[in-house]
Amino acid sequence: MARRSGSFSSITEPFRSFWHRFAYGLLILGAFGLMMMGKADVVLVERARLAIADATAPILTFLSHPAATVSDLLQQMRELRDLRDENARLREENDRLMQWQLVARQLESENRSLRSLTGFPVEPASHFVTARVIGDGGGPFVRSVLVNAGERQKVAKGQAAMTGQGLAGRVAEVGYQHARILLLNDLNSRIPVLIEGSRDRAILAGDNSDRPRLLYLDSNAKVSPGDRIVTSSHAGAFPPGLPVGVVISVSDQDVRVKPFVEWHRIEYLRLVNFNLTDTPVTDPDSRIPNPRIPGP
Amino acid sequence: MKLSVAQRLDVWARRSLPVALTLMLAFIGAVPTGLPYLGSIVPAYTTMAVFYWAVYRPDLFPAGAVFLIGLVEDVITGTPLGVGILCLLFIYGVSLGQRRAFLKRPFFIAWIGFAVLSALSMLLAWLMISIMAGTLVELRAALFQYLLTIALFPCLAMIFVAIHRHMVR
Repeated sequence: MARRSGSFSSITEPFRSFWHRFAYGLLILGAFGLMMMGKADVVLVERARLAIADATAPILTFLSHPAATVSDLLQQMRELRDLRDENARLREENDRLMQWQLVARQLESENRSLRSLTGFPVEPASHFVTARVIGDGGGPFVRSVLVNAGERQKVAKGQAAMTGQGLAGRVAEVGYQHARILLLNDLNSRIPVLIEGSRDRAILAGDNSDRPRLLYLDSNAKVSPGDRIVTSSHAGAFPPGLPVGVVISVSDQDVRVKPFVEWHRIEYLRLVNFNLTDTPVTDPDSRIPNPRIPGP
Repeated sequence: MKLSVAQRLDVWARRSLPVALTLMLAFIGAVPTGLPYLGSIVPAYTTMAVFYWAVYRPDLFPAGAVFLIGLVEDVITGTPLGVGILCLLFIYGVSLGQRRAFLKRPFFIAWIGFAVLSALSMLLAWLMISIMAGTLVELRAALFQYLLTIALFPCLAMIFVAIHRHMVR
């Protein structure tokens, strides 16, 4: 037995000493190699990346719970303090929204009758998957988050990620039980948008700052601070009309947009499956939920 | 003298503590805090840990572990693969080579050394990302992260010292 292990170590010995001497250099080379292969989108590297992220997703989910509890607690304390003001504000807002609801119902019925007159096809309904943010892009050079929904929940690459306030980003990578959302202020984010009032098309391009830019805007387009920006369906991936942000500054060099999303408040994201190949919902009524009428 | 299984396990657990803790820090750095502006500005916990263990206990922190931790961190944060690994390996290599300059000196010296090294590694990351993106990437978030990392280094180092003394031995 001792002989055999001796002969085994005599085989491995040269490798071991080689490794000890050159480990550092080899690892650096390995890192460079990974970088090149990652840049060249080698499938194997992409798969390995997904596998590691999938393996770490449960740990991140576990860790994100206590952090969320603490931040919820702080939030609750803040809310308790502002309860009275908040209540007054909500009452006022409720009154206003009631009027808006009336307008919306009228428009909805008018829209329906006009659609039936013109034979306009009903847009396919969107499905949502709501996912919890489990990892914040910790690096200073990347704006992305990890969520705990993946292929298992039918999340697919390219879907829009929304918060209650507006568009947050787009699904960039999908694993079995996680997905990475590229936020719209990331360097690599490009999102087709419309200026809501004038219907001018543009591309919303992030540059890692909090204020992404509008690119490829028509030179004749009239844009001024305060204009709302919504998604356009031109790339085919996004539902049209999702709120994105407002134009905050217009200068000769660039047009900057302030997104509606509050970045630090992203706790849950709705991933919108706007699948054009889906069978369209035949009953248009089901697209807008009816308000609950309080019983007598 | 031969050690029993339990004793060997105990020794093994103590010896792998530095690497395990650093891997844990890579996860903790990615936990969503929900604090304003802190999403993109999380102190570089792993940089601090790699520096500390490379200077004080390099025997328990092989270069392969540094690679692995960098890889996991790159995957979690979504940084292009390899960038975080290279930065950590850089910190590891230089601090290991210069560890005599920090050993048995006041902590202040190590702090300055760490400040210089992490500045260089941050610049390295910025350079690599900028080359890959083909444009100069915004540096402001990185600057804040750097300052936060330097400011928090003494606190983390205190924790590492405690772990080093009482648990690793």
